Amino acid sequence: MKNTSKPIQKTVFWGRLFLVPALAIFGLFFIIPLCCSLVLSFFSWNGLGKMDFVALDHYLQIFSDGTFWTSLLNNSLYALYTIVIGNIVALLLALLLESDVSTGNVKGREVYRFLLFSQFILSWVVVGFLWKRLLNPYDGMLNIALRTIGLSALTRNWLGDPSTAMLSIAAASVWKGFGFGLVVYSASIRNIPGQIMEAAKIDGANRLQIASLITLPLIRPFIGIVVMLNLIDAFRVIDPFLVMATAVPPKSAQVIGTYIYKTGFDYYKLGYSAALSIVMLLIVVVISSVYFKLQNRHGR
Amino acid sequence: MKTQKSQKNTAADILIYAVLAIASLITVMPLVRMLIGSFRTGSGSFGFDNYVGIWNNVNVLSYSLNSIIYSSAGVGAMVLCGSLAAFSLEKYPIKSKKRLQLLLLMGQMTPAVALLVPFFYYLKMLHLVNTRIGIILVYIALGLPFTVFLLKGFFRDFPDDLLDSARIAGCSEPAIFFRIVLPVSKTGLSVVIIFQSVWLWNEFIVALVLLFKEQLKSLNIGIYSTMGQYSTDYPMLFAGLILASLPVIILFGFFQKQFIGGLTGSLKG
Repeated sequence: MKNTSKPIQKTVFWGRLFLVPALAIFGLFFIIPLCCSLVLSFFSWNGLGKMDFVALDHYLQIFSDGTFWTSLLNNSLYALYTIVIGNIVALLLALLLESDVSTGNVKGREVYRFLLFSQFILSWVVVGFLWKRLLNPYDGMLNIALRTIGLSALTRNWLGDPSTAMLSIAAASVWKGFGFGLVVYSASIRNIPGQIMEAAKIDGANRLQIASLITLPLIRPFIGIVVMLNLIDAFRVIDPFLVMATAVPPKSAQVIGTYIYKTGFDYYKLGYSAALSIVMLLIVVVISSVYFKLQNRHGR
Repeated sequence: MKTQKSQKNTAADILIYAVLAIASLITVMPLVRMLIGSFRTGSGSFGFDNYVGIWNNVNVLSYSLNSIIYSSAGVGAMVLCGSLAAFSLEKYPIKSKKRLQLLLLMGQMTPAVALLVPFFYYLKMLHLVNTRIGIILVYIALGLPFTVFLLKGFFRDFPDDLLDSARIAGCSEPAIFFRIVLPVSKTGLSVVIIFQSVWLWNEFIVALVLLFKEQLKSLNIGIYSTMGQYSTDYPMLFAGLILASLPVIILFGFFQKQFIGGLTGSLKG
């Protein structure tokens, strides 16, 4: 099957040509804007006048910018809430969904999965408005329910109150997103070879032992991957914070994403916004590199 | 002994089903609330009045058409360019393969939020702000890395021998790709198409920055900018939200398997 050199050259030519459309669009509408962002971060510009070179001033400014650090802390809190709560819910439900009942598999497994997952595909505009409505201080479902069961003391302006705004948005996010972990975990439990489970049962292991000593350790790589993806998402999040923002959002509901957006499109401090973008990008790159290491260790 | 064990099993069964049922109920409740609320009319009865109201007051049709254009053109071009690139990276001796893959990785990691300012001013310079082609091009660029990664995984399993025998039989390279490889890659292609369609239909932040002319707004942006006025009239609000999610719900209903395939496929890299 030795080819002569001419057909090989021709093959290589076509191979390169196949790359051209993708690279052209990617270069023009991703690489160049990304470079623009980097260059812009060294300049001070309001979008109209001339650009002033400020070297690394913006980055130094970020370092002592209280709002930036508050936002970063808020991203971390959002990550903590969504990852911990979301993954506990997802894991627990996946274990139940894939558990053996006396009739074999759980009946209606696909129906449950559909019900538990479907909100994942809705847009943040829909989910955000819906939750804003449910959390409305006057006639939202949550406060009405609290009043009905005699817990009026707990009712509050969930999204406007600085102490609950972040938690409320995280709750909406868990509701929208836990289906992802659920689907991944339930697929990975299903992929565990049947013999392992059989052997454990023959040895007399009970459900809890099987779940904690066999299933969880076997799917741990997937838990790591989902957690890392959640972490990346938590640091680049913006949609829920924009859609669910109240008229005057409390400081506790500001994240780096919304800060970038506001500095750029409300205050027209474009250079500073670009510098913030680069910092966000660096944070995401650092987390991602850990993620890819994890993936390479366990993938394939 | 035996009966005791089976009793224990039925108790466990009941517990498992109960927790699953309660969890599903809690999860679905907000959606059910939205659905029922959207049919509630002023006098306490139910009807389609709110939907008619939203249809008459909000440009649902125009927004939807825009969303359909952005999603289908974006996904179509993304899959065409992406499948060619994925095939090339997987099956041809490209020299700078490693570097290109790193570039794509970079693209996959970069948050769209971090590019909003440059997107706006760069596209403004090119006179592409508030144009259909502008946002479609940005969508293609943003969606390409994932498309390429996913399709690379599907092309990897395509036997090299088959490519070689097609070459010996005199097939040209484009013919090999379009006539042999693509037709047997329907599974992979449908996963990518469904997954990216849902993403583009739901895309929010880029459209918010690049489209503010009323007649160009996508459904998401149209709903976002008009629903504020219904924040106290929640039956109308709910009807609007249902209308905005109907297409994606229908798509998901039909192609659940492909969507979830894309979701889990994204973990394998």
